Amino acid sequence: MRQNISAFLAIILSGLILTSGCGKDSPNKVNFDRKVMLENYANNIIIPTYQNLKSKTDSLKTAVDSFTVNPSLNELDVLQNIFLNVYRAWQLAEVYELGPAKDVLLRSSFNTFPTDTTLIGSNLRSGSYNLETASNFKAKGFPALDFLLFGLAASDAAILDFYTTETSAANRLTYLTDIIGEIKTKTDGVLNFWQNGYVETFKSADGTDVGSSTSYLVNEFSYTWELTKNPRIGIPLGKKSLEIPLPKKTEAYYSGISVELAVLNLQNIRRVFIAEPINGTVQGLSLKTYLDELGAEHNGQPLSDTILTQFDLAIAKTELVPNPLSDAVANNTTVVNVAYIEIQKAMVLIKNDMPSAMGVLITYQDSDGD
Amino acid sequence: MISKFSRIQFYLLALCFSAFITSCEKEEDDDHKHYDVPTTYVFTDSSGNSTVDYTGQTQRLDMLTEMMTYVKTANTSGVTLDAQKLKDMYANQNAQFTGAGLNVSDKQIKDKVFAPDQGLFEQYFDSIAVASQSTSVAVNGIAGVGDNGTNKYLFSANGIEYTQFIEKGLMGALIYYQAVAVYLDTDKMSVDNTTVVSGKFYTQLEHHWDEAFGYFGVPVDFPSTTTGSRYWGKYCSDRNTLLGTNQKLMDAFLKGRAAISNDDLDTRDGQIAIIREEWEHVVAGTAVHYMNGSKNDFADDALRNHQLSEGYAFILSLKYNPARKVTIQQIDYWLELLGDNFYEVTLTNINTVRDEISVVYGFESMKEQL
Repeated sequence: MRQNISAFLAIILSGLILTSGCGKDSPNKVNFDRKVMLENYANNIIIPTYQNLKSKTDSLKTAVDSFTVNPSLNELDVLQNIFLNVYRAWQLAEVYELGPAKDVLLRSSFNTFPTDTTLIGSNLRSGSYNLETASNFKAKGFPALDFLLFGLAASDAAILDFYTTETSAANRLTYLTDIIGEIKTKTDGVLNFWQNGYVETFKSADGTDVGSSTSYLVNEFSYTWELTKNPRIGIPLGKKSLEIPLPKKTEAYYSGISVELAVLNLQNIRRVFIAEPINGTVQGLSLKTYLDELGAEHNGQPLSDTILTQFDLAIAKTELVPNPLSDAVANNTTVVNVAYIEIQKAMVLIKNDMPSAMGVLITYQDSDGD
Repeated sequence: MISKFSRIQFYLLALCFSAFITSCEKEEDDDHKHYDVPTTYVFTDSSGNSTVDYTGQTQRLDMLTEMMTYVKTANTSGVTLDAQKLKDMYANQNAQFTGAGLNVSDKQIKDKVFAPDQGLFEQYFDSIAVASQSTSVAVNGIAGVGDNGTNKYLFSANGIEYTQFIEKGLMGALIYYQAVAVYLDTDKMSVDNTTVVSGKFYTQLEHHWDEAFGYFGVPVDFPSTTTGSRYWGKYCSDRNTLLGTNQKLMDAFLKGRAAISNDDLDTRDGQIAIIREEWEHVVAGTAVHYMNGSKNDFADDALRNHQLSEGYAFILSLKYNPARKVTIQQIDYWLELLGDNFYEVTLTNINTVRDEISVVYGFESMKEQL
């Protein structure tokens, strides 16, 4: 009898569910306008982030042109400093690998590390290379600049020689200019795309299903945090190599600002979560307010609070790691390991709990090993 | 809390949908004839004898597995492959197998491969044997084992992983071709369905259907059990989250077989159409998946070339379906875009291939995430 009643209820209920909106992807009936959230991200966060990157890459282009005309220690110093500022600005833009950035693979184009110094050498000596072909991705972008501006020799004076008196100096200068040119072109292209129509595309895909903007954003949000966990810190620390440290696998190995970049990247993910503009105060709808609206909880606490607490802890522990990371992974393992563990603890929250509450599928994956 | 609630909702939805679908099926069956479609691939005669037999297919899949185990030994530098041994395994001659019953079996791979392509695989065997002679590290222009620190694959001088051309190629030219183009085609589907084959419990028509199913590579209670799935069964499961192919393919195999046993050939023909269409979705979806994989690992020579080799072979496999949605010219064009040197492939071309396949198969909304 009781079974009959529950079967009856199930039928009624399923009928209700069917008529009330099968085909709609969202599991949640909450009062939250994702379109408004997406618009907030596009106009107040993403575009200003790319504008910031563009203004820095424009300066980089000017600096390399000036260095070409007058390769002096002073110009080298300017170029080095501007490059580091671009690298910092990139940490804020990396997470938006969707739409126009995904089409040109901005992340791999700009930041494949470790860079292949042998390939850079053979490319520039031959003077014949196509930076767009697959095998050259590890010979361009910021890691290649990091090498060409900081890694050619121990002192700036000796580095300068590589652009003035050493063999292939002219070719090296050309290569440097070409790499910077590509970075500028791609940055301009992506920003241009966002400013000329992509915002509309972005905010109109306002579901949570595969192919929706929220799905892309949540996936890249999690993936980028994971990039700091693995390539930035875990791999150099030896997490994929039997705990044997691999210092040369750090980001910004030659300039040695790896920890600073990692912290910037983590801080930026926190900023994305609450929709905080890179220069300004939090406003409007965000992934955080969406989670709050959904009532998502973790151990009886709002999930968004748990995420922010864990983000803060991970950032604080990473800030304790001394630069350069290449030295710390070998000689300060415990401190790096603590940071790694706190970064790792956030993964389950943002890769499982948050997407599950939002009804978003995590579709990125590690490559098949077969 | 919320995730628990939405899970319950999800189950209810799933329940109501399954109820909905089964009731649909029943109605449809009622229009024709009264018979049950089982939920597992178990069919018996009135005396309880199993009428299912696809040992020949199982044996060929076993042979392929042994062949691939041997081929993959060459992913370690210094291990060379004997092309003649591969040709012997291909044609099941000179007792190369270790699995019980394989060497004495009258089955072989070669004579079931799409006839015009039988020689192609022997060329692949020669090519991979040559590549395996190299003790160099794989780089553009030099064959050898490519190693990104985690994965090792044997590549030709042009970055082609013949291992994938052989394995995924045979999944197309042997397995997919035999199932959708031979066993489910007019000739094999126009045989006797009234007389039990001498010494067996099945009719010739039932047996042909089982042989097609045997190539699918799944357990009889798929997809509630996916353990033990191999080749297409495994890739079908890999794409299932986005394409939902597991249940569709299994249901079609079950329904078609039940229809044959009840002499309902109209229903059977409907299921053939479904199998061809859904299986093609698995092939195309997997090709798109590997285009995305090649993209995501674009800067990693080993992983990119590995995934491009897989993707290339899956695209090639599209041709073996008599009801395919693409023309041979389209397939050739896509392969041309990927080129014959995977070190020099461009992102633009990978994007084009992925986007065009997605248009043909209606994957556009999910093409970034397949």
